[in-house]
Amino acid sequence: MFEWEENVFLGFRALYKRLVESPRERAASAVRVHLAPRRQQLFLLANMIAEKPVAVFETPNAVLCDHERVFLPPEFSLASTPEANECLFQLKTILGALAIKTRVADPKALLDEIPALVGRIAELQPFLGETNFWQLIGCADFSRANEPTHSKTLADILEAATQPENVTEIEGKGQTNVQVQLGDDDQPVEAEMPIHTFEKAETLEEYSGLDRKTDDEDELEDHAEALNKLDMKHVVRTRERPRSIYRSDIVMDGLSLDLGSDSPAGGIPYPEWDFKKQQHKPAWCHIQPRTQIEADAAWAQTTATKHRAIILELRKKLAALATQTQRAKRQPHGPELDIDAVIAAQVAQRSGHAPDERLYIQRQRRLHDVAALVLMDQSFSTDSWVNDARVLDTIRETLFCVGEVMDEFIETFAVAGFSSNTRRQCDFHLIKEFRDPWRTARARLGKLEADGYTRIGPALRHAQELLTRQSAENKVIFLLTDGRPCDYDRYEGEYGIRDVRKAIETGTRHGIMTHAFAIEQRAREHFPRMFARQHYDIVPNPKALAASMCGAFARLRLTS
Amino acid sequence: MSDRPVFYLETGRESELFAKAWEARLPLMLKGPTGCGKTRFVEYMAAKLGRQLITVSCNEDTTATDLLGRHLLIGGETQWTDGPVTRAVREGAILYLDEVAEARADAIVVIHSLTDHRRELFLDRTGETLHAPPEFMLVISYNPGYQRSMRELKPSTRQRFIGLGFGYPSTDIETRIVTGETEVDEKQARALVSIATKVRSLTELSLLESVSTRLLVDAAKLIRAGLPPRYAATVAIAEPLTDDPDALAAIKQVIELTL
Repeated sequence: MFEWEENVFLGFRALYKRLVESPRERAASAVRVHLAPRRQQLFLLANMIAEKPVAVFETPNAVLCDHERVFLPPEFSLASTPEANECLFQLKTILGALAIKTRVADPKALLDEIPALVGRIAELQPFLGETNFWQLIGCADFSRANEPTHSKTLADILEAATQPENVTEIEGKGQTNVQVQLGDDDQPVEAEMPIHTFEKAETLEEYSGLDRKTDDEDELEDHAEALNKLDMKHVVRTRERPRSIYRSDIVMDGLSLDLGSDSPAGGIPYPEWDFKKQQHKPAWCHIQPRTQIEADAAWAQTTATKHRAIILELRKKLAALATQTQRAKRQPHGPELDIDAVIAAQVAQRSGHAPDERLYIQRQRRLHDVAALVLMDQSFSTDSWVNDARVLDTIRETLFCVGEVMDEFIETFAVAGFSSNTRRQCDFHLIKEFRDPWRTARARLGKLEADGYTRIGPALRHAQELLTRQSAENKVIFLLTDGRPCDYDRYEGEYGIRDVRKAIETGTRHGIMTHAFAIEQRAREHFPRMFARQHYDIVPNPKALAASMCGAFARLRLTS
Repeated sequence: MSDRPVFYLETGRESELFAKAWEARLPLMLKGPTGCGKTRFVEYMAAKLGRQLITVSCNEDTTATDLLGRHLLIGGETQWTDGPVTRAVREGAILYLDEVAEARADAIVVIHSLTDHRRELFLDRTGETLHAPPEFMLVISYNPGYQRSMRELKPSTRQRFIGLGFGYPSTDIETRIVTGETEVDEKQARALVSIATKVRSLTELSLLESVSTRLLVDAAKLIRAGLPPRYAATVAIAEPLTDDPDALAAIKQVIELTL
């Protein structure tokens, strides 16, 4: 309808960009410093300075921090040298962390904490031109330093309910101060009325948007640029199928989505750990066990061919491991003499006693008497793309490869997927039961689809329950996830992390080890808090994932 | 044993407890992270009580035989040789089993009879039963913590000991320890301790091994020997802790801000 106006506008826009923005852009790109490569370093720095757990949150908004996160922009290009921009990152991190530690907003008070900062800021100021340092890092706005907020990925909300087909996905900027409204799913979308809003909204800040028809075409790529200028003040949660995905981390204000008792519970109840009260909430989550039977034989065939090289390599690795051994002393047979036993036998013989004939050191196979349960995250977050591959595809193909070789070396193993939709609906899909033959179970992986959220705790507890019924000496859970516990009834952040940790501790006490894997590098920030060191791996690509799963076997300290 | 008196700075009532436990003939378990002063404390107390100290550092190959003793074949004759535990019982020494959780289960079980009212040690190889003299005391140490959940002490073992938890000392005391050990000036000692406090907050997130008081003392010694403070702190604190470049860079930042 407005096509020619739009074209004229785009024409002017392009001209403006070429004449005005581009030179400015060129100057900026020479000195630009990005957050991504130094994120981990700044994250560690923030935690040391604050002397308590602090997260790093990426957002272009000029805010210093809230009560538990330091806000950092995706890039700094304002200062006139790259070194100065780098320094801006460091100073903002340090000051943000200090503000969190001291709960004080005042620049002067912060500088008193670490006097060395005064000199650094003074050195930096000449590179900033007219811009005030404190304004730049958002130290003016401190009203929010003490109030708790909730974090969730917008993608989790946009991705609710159904799987998208043919969608575009772009990574958006992080947003703070977002309010979430529940969408009215039942209401049919009526034809749009043209609404004239230009008189009311004088500035972009004042313009708070209006409802758009939600079943738009996939035009996301065309509008990507505009979207990145967008300030997300209100978002809507709806069950509708998205045509386009705009992924962005947001910090939500005053979100409360605890469940009432409207939906029927059923299923197997499990407790959940509330770290604030330091106690379990009894029968809080309900596992809905399902057994998957649909299979995709063609997928299995294709995957087997596609990854033949990986499977062969894994087989070699595990075979080497399976023959690797542990020493057991005083055995009736064995390749080595046990010197203590020999001497004892000598003594016995000379003193006229019957010598013990168990004189040897036996080497026992390491992968002996193991029951393993592979637990995979099939929540919507696995529907996203890392390194040009859908995480879910990567996970199930990896699982396929690992299953192929595990079948030969481990007596008992099961495979299950999990996802959740609030605590009442924690789905646990058994893909391979312990007694199922792998040959029939493997094709079921092909039918696996992404669904719901990531409530790791109940899934772990159920997996432990299944393992305790196994008689094997060594029990282990392999968890494949993107590393962020999350469900939309407040299972997130610290709460989720502590619950997962508790579940693992309980398992360890009952002799069940948990080893976790992730493909996403971002997991470096959550994983260490949930899993004991040496009990998790974060890998850059699928091939490494399969290899590190086999490596995890090597590190199992088996008792046999 | 050196002639120099053992330097130890009390952080609570631990030396009183140790002395009372020794008098009451109770076995003692020291818990705490590595390098926080457990071994030093035992050395200090042994010197203070005037008892000989026999220390065994346990590892996963430590067996009952290693602890109790073994027969050796000498010129066709077998000859019994006492292990450290047996020797300590015979001599009424203070026996310190360091990192006892690392030892194999059968090795840990042999000390059980020493820990209760019997206070005796049975040597199955020689058929001998030794009764511990009143001066004998058994002290074990272990390093609890989220990271090492695989090597827990069994409840049946740990409930035979009274427990003394060691943490890192408070800022003031740790500063005094650093100055006391190295005679570095107080301002620098305080800065070193402040670096340690910050790094230890990463340990709580299990992102990093912890900085021990021992490493701080090492850093102070290097400073005292004339190295530039930042460099000394980097080689003594940052580098021993981690190989991760991000973590190293972050710790160096903290060092630069503090020293």
